Amino acid sequence: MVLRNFVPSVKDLFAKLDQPANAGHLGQRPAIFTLPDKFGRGSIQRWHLRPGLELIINDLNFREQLILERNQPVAKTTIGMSFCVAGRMQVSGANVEPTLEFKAKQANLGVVNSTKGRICYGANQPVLLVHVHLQPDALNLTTEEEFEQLPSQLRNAIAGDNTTNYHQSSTMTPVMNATIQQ
Amino acid sequence: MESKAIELISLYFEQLLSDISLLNPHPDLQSDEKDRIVYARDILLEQVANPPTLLELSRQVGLNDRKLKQGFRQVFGTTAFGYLRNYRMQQAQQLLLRPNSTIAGVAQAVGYSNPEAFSVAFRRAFAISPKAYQLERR
Repeated sequence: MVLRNFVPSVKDLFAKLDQPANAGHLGQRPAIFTLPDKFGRGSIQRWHLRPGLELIINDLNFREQLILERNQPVAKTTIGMSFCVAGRMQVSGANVEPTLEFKAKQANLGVVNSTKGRICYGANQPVLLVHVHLQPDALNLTTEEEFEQLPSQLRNAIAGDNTTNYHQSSTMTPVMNATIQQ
Repeated sequence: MESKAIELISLYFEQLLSDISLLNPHPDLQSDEKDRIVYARDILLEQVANPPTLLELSRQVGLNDRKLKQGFRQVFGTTAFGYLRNYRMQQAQQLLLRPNSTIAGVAQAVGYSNPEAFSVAFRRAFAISPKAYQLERR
């Protein structure tokens, strides 16, 4: 069974995404949020894979430029990884100064302490973006030795230091690309 | 889907840690120069299938070609195109071990339009052909 949600507005679409995933949805079936036709085409699929781990696929094409203001507290520090397969979008906010541009073939890592910020989607620009949201205690990310090698800002942000912001972007490797295509 | 998400996380951290370990100490470089050299590396990786020449690259990052050559060796311990070659080959090694991967598909993924040229480069790097590597390791 697929959990499909038709939402009346774009605001509702993203408001639903800000809600914590329902524990009953845990598993291999995604919740699918479909963009209302009047705003464009596409959907957001959200897999709640295990407590503290989500995979979200944005496949969106807005008719007009969309600027989305978001201000939602995050209950726990979350590591966000984004893999942009197609298109581009701009993100600015509390943890991402200055404005970042996500573009195709780019991977981004950020530590999110709130979803306060602004997302800008261009008109008629299809965006395909894969996000992984991970709470640090959901997985052993690295060995202790590897953790010590990470940039101190990232370590502090993962440790929950709300005063430390971290963002890093890099080119998606062919192996990342192949993993996403699968 | 969970295994794919975990794989993506691992790949990202692997890349991050590899980047950190590759960055050699570079006391002779100014911070701005180092940033430009890392940017040059990023451009090479973004355009893996059709990389710019050293001269084009130096223009894009705002360093002269001599400084770029020297700086790249200081920061990454190899030449710009040596780095690109190593990167392509390391990626190819991983891709070859994936189920259903083909030599032509892997060659294209790492920026070779000609699978033959890819096989030659792979054999030169690892003293084994990509097909034999696949059969031996899968």
